[in-house]
Amino acid sequence: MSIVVNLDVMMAKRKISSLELAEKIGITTANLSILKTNKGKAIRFSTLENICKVLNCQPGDILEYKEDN
Amino acid sequence: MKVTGKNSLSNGIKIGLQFVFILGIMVIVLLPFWLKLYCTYVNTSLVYFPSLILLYASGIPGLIIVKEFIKMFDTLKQNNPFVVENVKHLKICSIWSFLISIEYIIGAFVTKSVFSIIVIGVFIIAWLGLYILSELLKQAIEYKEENELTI
Repeated sequence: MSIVVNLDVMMAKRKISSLELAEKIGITTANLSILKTNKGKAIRFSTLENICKVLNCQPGDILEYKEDN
Repeated sequence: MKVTGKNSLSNGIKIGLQFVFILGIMVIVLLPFWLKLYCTYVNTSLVYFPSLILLYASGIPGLIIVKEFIKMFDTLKQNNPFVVENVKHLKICSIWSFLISIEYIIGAFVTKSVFSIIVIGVFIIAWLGLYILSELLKQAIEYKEENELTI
């Protein structure tokens, strides 16, 4: 997939654990893990909104477009 | 009424299909005997050997179709029907239905019975219907996966 989720970088910057983030966003840790490992196929605007709110960042900080080889 | 899971309609149908499968094996094993009786006493104009070959050639695929359906109803019992295996099972059923209809098209010249035309019609509809259903199921599985991986 050419869209990469760089969630761990932002989480490390904000010094927040997966469990805490999942709880604050309101999703399960299993789903957060899917998101972090780039296995997800789509992200709801509401989830993205919550992530940005909790991590105090912009969508561009966690999502990145990379050209497919 | 519950459609999937334990003690459901699909489980009942599965048991029925298993019964049909066992009955089908018995009929196929004793087919030469039954057909001999049928040719001697009921329909004397029927030619024994071509009919026997036709019935074997359509009976065994028929049993395979029943077996595939039992496997599909098994996944319904487990509440997990949206799996790639079911697409395969439906495709296999569709191919065998097509072959049975071809066999009866050839067999219609041998048996010269109106009944053959009905069988041809039914299996052609089954062939196309099952193929369409398998493609629909494939799409449904894709939608389901996409939905499950939307976070």
